Amino acid sequence: MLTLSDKHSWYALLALTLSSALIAETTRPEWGLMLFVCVTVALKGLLVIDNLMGLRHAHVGVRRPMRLYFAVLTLLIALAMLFPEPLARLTTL
Amino acid sequence: MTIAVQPEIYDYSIDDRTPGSIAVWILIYAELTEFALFFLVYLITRAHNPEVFSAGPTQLNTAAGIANTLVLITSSFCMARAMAAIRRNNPQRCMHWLWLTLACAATYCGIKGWEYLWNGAHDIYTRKNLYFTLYYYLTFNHLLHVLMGMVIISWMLFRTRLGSYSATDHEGLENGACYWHMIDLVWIIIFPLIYVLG
Repeated sequence: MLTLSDKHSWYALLALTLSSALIAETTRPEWGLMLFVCVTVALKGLLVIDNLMGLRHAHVGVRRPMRLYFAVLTLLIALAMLFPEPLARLTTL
Repeated sequence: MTIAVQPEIYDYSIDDRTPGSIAVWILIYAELTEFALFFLVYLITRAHNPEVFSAGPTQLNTAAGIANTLVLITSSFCMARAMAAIRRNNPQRCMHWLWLTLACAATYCGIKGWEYLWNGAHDIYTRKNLYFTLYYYLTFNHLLHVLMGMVIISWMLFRTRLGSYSATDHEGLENGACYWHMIDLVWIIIFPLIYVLG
């Protein structure tokens, strides 16, 4: 659980965004940087869900699907970015 | 004379409950499901067209994407502060933060409009290739949600001005706030997917 005040969460979100922006501006991301970007997406999602949206102490039936959404989607994005050929084969009619 | 200074940071642990009504959570999950399907379509299309999607982000105005991400994150922070203010029974402060949230949303729309104009000037249009079709589909769809969010925030401001909300009764505000945070969450995925990873 990422427990920060709303102001510190905001700072962390800005820092994580700027780190991704630096990657976008300087290089074509290889697999290591792709994973880093995916991790920052997951972290940013958790920061907003827990600390800005205020779900840190919410009912588990609301909080868990929100957190799972970010975990599953970022995992799928990472897998699709790292292994595009198997995904293309799987989705060819 | 003693001036009482109210803390800006709200301690959620003293309010152990879920913000918003069940109706707004159904709406939020429906919207997130819709965007998740768009993301899956994007990833599958990318897997079949790696060259087109690899070249796509280099042609976009990344600065506009970065600026919009910073603006939306700031809007979420302002919204969190607005909710903290109403929980302290301070509607004036709440309205102050809601106006700032609305200003961030308007800034987002301005940047997005400028970005679309910039795209037009650089021969980027919806049918240029599959990458740009999906870029426009995702970002314009998100822009429509931001516009809807602005209408909701305006309604929240109006109701707060009328004194409809208090520290013990502000579910309407919570519903709007949750919807706005959802819009921010979706952009948190769109930005790296389209502008960084391609």
